This record gives sequence, C-alpha cells and structure tokens, in this order.
Amino acid sequence: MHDIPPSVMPSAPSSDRSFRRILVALDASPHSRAALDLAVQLAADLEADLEGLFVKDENLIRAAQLPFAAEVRTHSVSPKALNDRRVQRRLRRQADQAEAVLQAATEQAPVSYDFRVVEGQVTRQLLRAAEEADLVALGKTSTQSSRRRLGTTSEALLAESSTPVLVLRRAPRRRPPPSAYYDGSETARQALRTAAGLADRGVPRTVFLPPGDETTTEQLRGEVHEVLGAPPARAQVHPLTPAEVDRLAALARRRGPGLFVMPGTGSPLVDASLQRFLYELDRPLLLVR
Amino acid sequence: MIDALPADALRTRFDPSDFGFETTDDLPAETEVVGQDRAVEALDFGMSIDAEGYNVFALGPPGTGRRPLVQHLLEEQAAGEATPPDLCYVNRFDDEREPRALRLPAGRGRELKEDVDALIEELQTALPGTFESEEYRSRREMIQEEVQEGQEAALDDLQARAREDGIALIRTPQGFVFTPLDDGEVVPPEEVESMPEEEREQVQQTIEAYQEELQDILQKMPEHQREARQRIEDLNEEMATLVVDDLIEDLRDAYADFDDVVAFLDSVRDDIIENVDVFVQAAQQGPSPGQQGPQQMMQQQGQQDGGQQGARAPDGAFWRRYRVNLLVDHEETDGAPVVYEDNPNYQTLVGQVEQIAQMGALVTDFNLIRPGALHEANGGYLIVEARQLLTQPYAWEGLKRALQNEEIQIESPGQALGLIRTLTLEPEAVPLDVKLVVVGERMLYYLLDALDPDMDRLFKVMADFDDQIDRDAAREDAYADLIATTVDDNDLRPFDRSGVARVFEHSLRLVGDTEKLSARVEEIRDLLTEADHWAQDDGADTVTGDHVQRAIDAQIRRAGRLRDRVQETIEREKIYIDTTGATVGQVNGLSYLEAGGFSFGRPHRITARVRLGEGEIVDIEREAALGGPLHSKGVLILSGFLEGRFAQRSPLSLSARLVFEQSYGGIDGDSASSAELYALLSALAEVPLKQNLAVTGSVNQRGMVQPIGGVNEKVEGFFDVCEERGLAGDQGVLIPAANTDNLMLRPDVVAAVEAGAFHIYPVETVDQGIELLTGMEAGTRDEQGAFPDGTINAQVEARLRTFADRRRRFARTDGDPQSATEEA
Repeated sequence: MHDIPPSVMPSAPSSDRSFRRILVALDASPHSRAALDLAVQLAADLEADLEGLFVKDENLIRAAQLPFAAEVRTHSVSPKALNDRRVQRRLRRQADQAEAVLQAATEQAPVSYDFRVVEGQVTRQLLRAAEEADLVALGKTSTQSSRRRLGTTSEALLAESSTPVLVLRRAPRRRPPPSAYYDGSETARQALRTAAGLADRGVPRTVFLPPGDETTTEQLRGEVHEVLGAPPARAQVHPLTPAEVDRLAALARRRGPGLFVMPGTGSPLVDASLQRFLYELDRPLLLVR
Repeated sequence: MIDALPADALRTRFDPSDFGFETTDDLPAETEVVGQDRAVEALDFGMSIDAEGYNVFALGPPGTGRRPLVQHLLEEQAAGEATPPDLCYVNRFDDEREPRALRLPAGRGRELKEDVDALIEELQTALPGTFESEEYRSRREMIQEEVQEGQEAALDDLQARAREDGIALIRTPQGFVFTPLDDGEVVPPEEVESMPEEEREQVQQTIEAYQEELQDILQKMPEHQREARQRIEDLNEEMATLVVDDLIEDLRDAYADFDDVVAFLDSVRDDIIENVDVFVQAAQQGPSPGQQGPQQMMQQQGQQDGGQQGARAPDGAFWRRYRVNLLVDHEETDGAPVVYEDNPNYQTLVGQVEQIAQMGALVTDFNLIRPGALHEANGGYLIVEARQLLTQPYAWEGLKRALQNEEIQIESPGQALGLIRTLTLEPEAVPLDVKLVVVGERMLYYLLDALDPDMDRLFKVMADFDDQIDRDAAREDAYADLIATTVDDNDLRPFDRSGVARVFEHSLRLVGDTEKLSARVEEIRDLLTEADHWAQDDGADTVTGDHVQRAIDAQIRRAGRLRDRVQETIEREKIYIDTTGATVGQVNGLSYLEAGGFSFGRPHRITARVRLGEGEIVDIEREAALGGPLHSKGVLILSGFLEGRFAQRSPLSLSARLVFEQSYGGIDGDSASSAELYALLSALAEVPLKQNLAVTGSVNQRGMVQPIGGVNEKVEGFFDVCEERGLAGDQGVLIPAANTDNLMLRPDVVAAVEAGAFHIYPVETVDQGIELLTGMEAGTRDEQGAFPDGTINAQVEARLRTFADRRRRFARTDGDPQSATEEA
C-alpha cells in the first residue's frame, strides 16, 4: 500500500457525542419490533449498549381499578368487565414477551443489553428515560394502524425530547446509507455528524441543502465537506429548489431505503406537519435536537 | 387313331423381336394397372359419387396389387379436391369433461395453436408483473389504508369528544376502556371512590354512552373490511382485464371470421379473470413461476377456481387449460387427404384419449386427445385392409358406427360397450365426411355381404379385381409398360426384349391359360426382382431371358423338395409306375398337388379288377374314406356311361373295384375319371393298356372327355419320370382336347416333343382314348346294334354278356355245377 498524503486521506468523522447507549421502547406492536431490529443493528455497528424499556401504562391500570371498568372489544357484543388483576397479568405477560423478543433480537449480534419494566404514564416515562440515553428508538405507532398515523407517544418524543429520536414503521433489511438535511445550524451540524457516524465509510448518500443563492449554497457545501472530511466527489450534495422544499420527504424517500437524519429546529418541519412528513417519507427518521 | 399335337401348340412363344423396344428403358413406365377394367371403373364410380353409403370394397385374390392401385387412383382423384379444415380441441371451461372442437381452414389450426402459445407466454410474465407492480401495490395499499384511516378517524373523533366530556379513551390489550379524566390526567381510583354519588353516576352514564358509541364503531369494522375486500377484488379484476384484453385483442381480430374461435378466446379471457386470485396470491408471495416436468403436469387439474393451494404460483399445469390441442394439421396437405391405415384397430381408427398415471390414479385432459385415421382422412379418403380390420376387436363396429352416424365420437371400446363407468372425457363429436375403401379377399366380402346387414347400407360399390387379364395387342403393350414401371419403381436393371418376352411367357404359365396374362402383379414383381438379382450375379447391366429363366428355375428349385421326393420314390421304385409295356386293367393316371404355393403333377397307377356281380362299381378310395365327393361323383358318372353303353339289353352283371394304388393321402377331383374308365374297359375286354402313356381328363355320361385343371403340371410330372429313366421315344400323355389352349409346357418338354421323343394327344372321346391306349379300334354299333369283331367295345360287351349269362344260370341252378353244365 502506498502512502497517501494526510490531506487527501479521509479522516474519521468527528462527533461530539458518540452513541454509547441506545434506548428502545418496547411494546407488542410491529413497529416496535422494527424499531428494535434497527436499534440492534445500530448498537452492533456503533458498539453501543442497548436498553429495552417496557412501560406498563398507568392509565390502563387505573382504569381497570375502577368499579365500573368495562372493556369494549372489537368482536364482542357488549363490553366486558375489566378486571384489575387480569389486566396486571396481561401486562406482566406483555413485559415478559417484550423481554423475550429483545433477547432473541440480540442473539445474532454482539450487543449487550438490559431490560427494564416501569409503571407510569408512557410518554413521561420514555421522556425521562431518554434523557439518560444517547439515542431513543421507537415505533411510529403502538398498535396496528394505517400508514398515515403517528402515535401520540412518538409525536410527543419527537417534539420534546432533547435526545435524538429515531422513529420508524419498517426496518430496512440491510445497511443502506442514510441521507441528511443540513441548513448550517449547530443542530444541523450535529445531525450531519450523526449521519456520518451511521454511514458506511462515514459518507451519507445525499445531503440536502436548503434553497438559497449561490454563495450560501457554496458555503454550506463547504461546511458539509468539512464536517464529513470526505473528498468532494463522494458525498452527493443536493441543494433544494424552492419548489422541492415541500417535497423533501418524497425526494428523500426516492433516494433510498436508508434512514433520514435531520435537525429538529429551523428545518422544513417547522411549517409542515410532522405526521405528513413522516407519511411521505415512509422511512426511518432520526431527529436531532 | 388321332394324332399328337405339334410342338408349337404346346407353348405360346413371345418373339422378342415382336416387341417395339430394345429394353424397358425405352418405355415410358407410366402404367400402374393393366386390364382390371371392371374394378377400375367401379373405383372411379365409387370415388366420384357423392351419395351416402357409397363406400368401396375392393375384392380380389391377394397379390393383384389392389391396395397400391387403389391408393394411386385415390391420390390422383384427391389431388384436385379441396383440402379439409384443420381440427383442434380446446378446453370447455364450464364443463371440462366435454372439450370443444374447433375447425379452421387448413394451416390456420397451427397458427392458432402457436398464437395461443405465444399469448400464454406473454401472460405468464404480464400477469404476475401486473400484480407485482408498484402501481398495483400502491393502489391496493391505498384501499386498505383508506379503510384503516376511516376507522382511526372515527376513533380519534370519539376520543376527542370524550376528552371534552372529561372521559379518556385508553387502549387495552384487547380493546378499549373509558376512564374519567381530570385536567388531562386519568383520575386515580381512590378519587373516583370518593366522588359524590351523583357525580359518579353521571360519570358512569357518560362512560356507558360512549361505550355504546364505540361499540357501534367497532361493529362496523367487519363491514368495512368486507368493503375493502370487495374493492380489492374489483381492483384485481380491473388489472387483470386490462392485461388480458390488451393481449387477446390482436388475436380476436386475427380470428374475427371464426365465431367459435372468438368464443373460445373470450372464454379464455373470462377464465383467466375469474382465476385472477391465483396470480395475486403468487405475486404477494414472491417471484414468478417456473415450468414443471411432465410428471407433475396434471397436479393442478381440476382446480377450477385456482389458487386453493395458496402460495403456489401458476405453473405449466395451470396454463395447460388454455392451450390448443392441434389434432389434425393440414398445412402441408395438397388436395384432399388419402390415408392408408395399416394397423386399423379401434383406437387408431377412431382416436383415443390418453391418460397419465399419477400417484395411483389415471388423469387426463383435452391435451391428451389423440387423432385416429378417421380424423386424418376426414374430408378425403381412407383405405384399410379387410382382414386386418376384422381381426381387431370392435374395429369393424367402431368404423361402421362412425360411418352411419356421420360423426367421429372418441371413446374407448369399454365406454362404447358400456363397460366402463369411470368418468372420462367426452370430446365433442366431429362431423365425418370420408370415403372408405376396404381392400379384402373375395371370401371376406361374400361372408360379410351374407352375414352383416350393414354391408348393403355402407358398401354399395364392389370393385372386383380379377386375377387374369385378357390378351390383346393394346393390353400386351400396357403389360410391357407395367413391367417397365415395376422395374423403375423397384430400381431394377432394365430388362431387354428377351427378358420381357420370357416374363410374358411365365405370366401365361402362372395363369395356366394361353389367352390370359396374370394379374398377380406381385408375383411378377418378385420374378423381376429375382431375375435382376441373377443379372447382378452375372455382372450384367441388363436382364435377359436367361436371367428370367434362372429365376424361374431357382424358384422351382427352392420350392421343389416335395416334388423331388415324390420323383425319387418313383425312381427308387418304392412307388410303382411303369413307363413301358402294357398291362390289363392298369393305367397311368395323373394327379396334381399344391403345397406352399408350388404345384406339381405326378403319375398315379390306377387299377381296375372285375368279377361277376350285380353291377356295382366300387371306388375303393371312397370306401376307405380317402376319396372326396368330387372323386366319388366322377366314378358314379363313369358308371353311368358304362351302363348307358353296355347295359341297355342285359343287366350290368359285373362287380368292379377301382383304386389309386399306393395312395395313402386323400384324393379329390374327377380329372382321373377317364383313366379309371380306361382301366375298367381294359379289365373287361381283357386287353392290355400301354404303360408308356399317361392319361388325364374327366369323363361324362356320354363318354366325352372334359377339360381338367393343372394340365401343364400333370404332363410335366409324367415327362420327368420318363426322362429320368431315359425317354423311350413312344411316351406321352393323353389330355382333354379342350385343354389345348391351356398348354404352356416347359421348354425342355417342348424340345423333346419337337425331337419326336414325347407326344401329347388331344382326346375328345373315350373311344379315341382307348384306341390310343390299346392300339385297337374302339368300334361303333352297326345297324343290328352290335359292335364289330376285334374292337374293344365288342370285347367289353362280350365279357359283360358272359357275366350276365353266368349270373342268370347261377341264380337258376342255385349254384349247383351239375345243373349248370346241363343248361350250357
């Protein structure tokens, strides 16, 4: 192997915060399973620890304790009385299943994990737990639902968590390269570094830039390359036209099945609804704040 | 005493120089048949008449070339006729047990088959492609999403309203539950407990109301699911229709003139669309289908509403249902078809439905229908051989049925007889328009005609082939050309004039008649082939008369073991035949044997002994049950002659015995009755008969000598015995004068006659014969009715009177010798 001058050699991506601890929210839903699979993948790649958290919904427990609690089911004619003990049992079983799933998922990969069960308000518990983690992954909804729907828990985490949140419906099968959005802000820089950290050889597939005049675009482009440390040819930088801004999600979707990393502030998300963005993107979204 | 025949009367010669050519190469070689006018006219008539039931039975002896001639004539006729349509079988989707028949102009059947195969190939990729396409997936997903979203919207709405009312909607593992809300938080149970009764009641009622609403929403779910399913089905049908219609459109245009083909294509389209689920399911599961081997071909048969297996993609077995089974393809046929079925059993005639054994069961479909000769000859002509047809079980019945019903119904013989009850295919019957020519032996025709009432209805034309051809100049020219044609067809060396002449002569000999040529063209062909072989042996380029003679001699040699054995036994005097001297009551008769297609003659000693008796002439052969009826009849006739001539005035008081000495096999035929008579007369007259002469000829009650068969063989049989011993010069044969024009004796016999060493006498009456044999006059009655002294008849009569006197005396004196002498 011949010497390559240091200026030309790709330098390792610098990142302030490397992911050491990944939190994944577990419930019985298929989206949650997808989140788990992707979390395991990331944990393996980044040599991070994995924490699986199952939250027993306090509201449900409380509801079951009410004297007139009755469960309305899809296939029964009239509501069935809800038994506190039965609910507890069911929740326990769900927790056990979640743990088993976590165990099975991590068997293939060299990932260390632990599993926790807490009782409380689901959103609140997750937010709290997220503070301790470097990345939180969860499913888009907690039940079988339409593609359009965004669960309340996911919505809340995306809006309020300061930890990067990864939300998805389906896990990609292999390790497709991620894409990113960079608007020059500090959060965006963070996001970009995260994307680089998750990419093969440190280079995301595409980096979208906001519309602007030539100078701004060039500057941003330069910043991108600076952050990525890659020779210009490798990363594909795509400055958006004003028309394309609204269609960012669709564009990103077309670029490939990899996850999409973007800053949570000052981005197209401010104007558009997060739900619609996720619906059109239909790919795992990693939001960095 | 009559004279012997001159040598040139003994054999008809064909002079090579009489022929107008040098070798057969000079001849056009275009003749397929000579003579057979009656048969050819019948065939022409039979071929051209259009009416029902005018099928032809070509009867005649084997070896007369009937079948090749029939085929040739039919092919000539058929060449100018229209080519019949192609026949295809296709699936009938609403009842797969009765495949549908399609008829298309010649050549288009193949086109249709290929077009349908191409269509299937395209569908095999297009259909799965459609259901794997992004467009389909997204549309399908959209339908499902819509339903899902609708439900979610309803739930969200309910949730929002409940929240306003202070009620929370919470998900449980199996459904939902309502709890009271306070300030956005779920009220803890303790607080609920501590609520005032009224408030709690209020809360409970509100919750119950919401529960009811939620129940309603949830109950609508199955309905929505059903709607979604229906919409997806409609989507499937729509996608499938687009694809199929697009691909089939061209085909429908191409075959727009044929209603039944268009109907078939439409039914294919409908069936594919009906079975669309198969493709949808396969597409949902994974990549496109491959082909399966023939053993598994049938596995998906019977699945009318496909896709029951779920994930399995439509494979070769599934697509079979749409294919075209091209049964009869007339693309290459010129004119009408002429089919010769040389193995006419039931199946090869009527067709059959084959079956495949699969896991212990027999399965079939319309693709396994196979055509019979009737299908291939439909619209044209079919030739079969009667003997082959009649020896195959049910073949004759099946053929007749098809002809009578004017349609071909394919079913097994078991089905036809009602023996088989398992369900099998019943292909649509096809109208039949065929002219049938059956070639058979005469006996078969006459038997069928007598015993099968259907013969009158189905075979109104008999084409009767002769085994002989009348000789005339035109026919002889044609015969020569026929020889040339045979030489040509069989790639033989050309025959020169001498060769052809010799063949002509042999042809006459084969018939045993100098006025006829043999129509057994196969025998002639064999002779030509063998002569060619001997020419090759010689290294010659042309076949000459010598080669032909060699072929004849070789044939005789090959077949002549029995004859040689007989001659040997005569030679070694195991069998007594005298050829010199004279003996009383003994004569050389001549008999004729045929074995293995080879016939020969031999002399036979016949003896007669007489005594006093009551007028019976005993035929020892008949007594020993060795004589056939014709022989017995001959003896009775000669008895009639004897009685007629000699028993008018006094009773016939003799007892005579006639026998064929040393004959231990059967004897039949009356050709030796004149010989027997001569022996008898000799015994009565006590005059010896010359042993250097042999006799053949039957006799009638008036003493006329009648013609017999096999005269050539008989003469040669005696000649060979004499020649073996050395011709004495006075030997010969008495033949009936009427047989003179049958004489085609061997050249060496003729040569001997020419040299005066052998003699053939044409005898008309018994008297002429007895004169030759005794050297005495026969004698005729004078006005007094007496025969002149010294004649045979006089001596016979004298002897008979003696017998009569003795008998009378014996009767009167009761056998006492004393009284007998007194009377004398």
